[in-house]
Amino acid sequence: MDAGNNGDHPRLKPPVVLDGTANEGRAGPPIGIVDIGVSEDAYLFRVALPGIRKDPHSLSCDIERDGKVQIHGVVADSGILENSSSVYQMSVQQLCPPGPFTVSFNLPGPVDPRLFKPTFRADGILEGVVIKFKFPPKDGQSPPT
Amino acid sequence: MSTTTPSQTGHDPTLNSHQPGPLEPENLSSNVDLPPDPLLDSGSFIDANPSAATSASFTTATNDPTLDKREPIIDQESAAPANSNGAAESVTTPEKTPQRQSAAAESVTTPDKPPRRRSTAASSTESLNWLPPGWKVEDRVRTSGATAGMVDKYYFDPVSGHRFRSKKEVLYFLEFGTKRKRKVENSDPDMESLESSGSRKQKKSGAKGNTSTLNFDFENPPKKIRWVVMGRSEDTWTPFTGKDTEKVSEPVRQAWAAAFKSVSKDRYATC
Repeated sequence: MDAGNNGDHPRLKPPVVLDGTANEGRAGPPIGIVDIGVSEDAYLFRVALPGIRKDPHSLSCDIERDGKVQIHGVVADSGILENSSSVYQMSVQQLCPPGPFTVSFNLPGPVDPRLFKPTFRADGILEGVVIKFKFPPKDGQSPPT
Repeated sequence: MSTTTPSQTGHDPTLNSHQPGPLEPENLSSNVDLPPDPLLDSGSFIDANPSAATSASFTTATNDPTLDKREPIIDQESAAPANSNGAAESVTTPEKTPQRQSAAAESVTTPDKPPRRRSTAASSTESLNWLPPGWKVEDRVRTSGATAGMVDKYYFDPVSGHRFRSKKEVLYFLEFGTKRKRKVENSDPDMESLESSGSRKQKKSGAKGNTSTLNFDFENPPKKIRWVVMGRSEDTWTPFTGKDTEKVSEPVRQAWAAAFKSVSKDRYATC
């Protein structure tokens, strides 16, 4: 995580790589703060994505088998309101500047990229549950439970 | 099935006089070496003609509907042994009622165990003897998606042109003349077809664990899946494979969702 955004619990912080405009926000609620949780079967992550609009194709989430998660998104132009034709000249801009960004981090273990349930909550938190990948056992008796 | 008809007992007074009264029905059908059925009164026969009349529109490939109505809730596996067993003891009695003629020709009838699914009597999962003549069978190999390479059997009715994805569906169609509607036990048709095809797959691939009926290869996850937000209002995420190029088909996605649900034991699933 970007040094400027460091919070109070450095030892719990997963290594998170911010790229693009997510790396430039300084004062406002930062994009790319990550929480990670573990259950018996799955990992949970929460990523703060304040100000990200849920436009079609505007946000994607790559899940890799080894647990790597990469979130790509675009911060919309702050001078343009949704559903409005007016354009505003921004005199103060402390939220993330517009542009594409990437948030990358690793879950604690391998996962099955197909078994992913993302929820982009209305409060700007992206919440994802990914099922752990537990094979082998080879016999197929017990799918990962 | 002991099928001595009342008409015959009435028909032949001479025979009646020859035989001792209580044994009369058995002796009438004595060219069949059936043991007397303790549950059946003499002179009675197992045939649900009243209800047969209600669905009498089908003729050749049908059986007693009252008996076969149980078919949808009978698991294929559990039904099969009973059928083959019945086939071994199968006896065809010459004295069938006219209504029973067609069924009697191929039917499995044991005195104490009425056949549950006549048309599967002589078939295994592999042989297609149960399929009426004229029907076409097609093996289709899945070409894409996570389950690529799996083979699906499809059955085509030459008359209606309907396509069926399982033997169960075909048998149901033959019996009731319509495609199958889901019963209350499982209200989601997609889930049903997924499950049935999944279990069939598992049987073919040689007795994997019976822990999951899902058609999902838990052992070989792809290296990477990209999930993309598709809808503005509702939270719709669509998976892509291979660098954003190939959209995962809806049935596959549903299979994944089902697998997710099964694995996470509904703790998170709301989909």
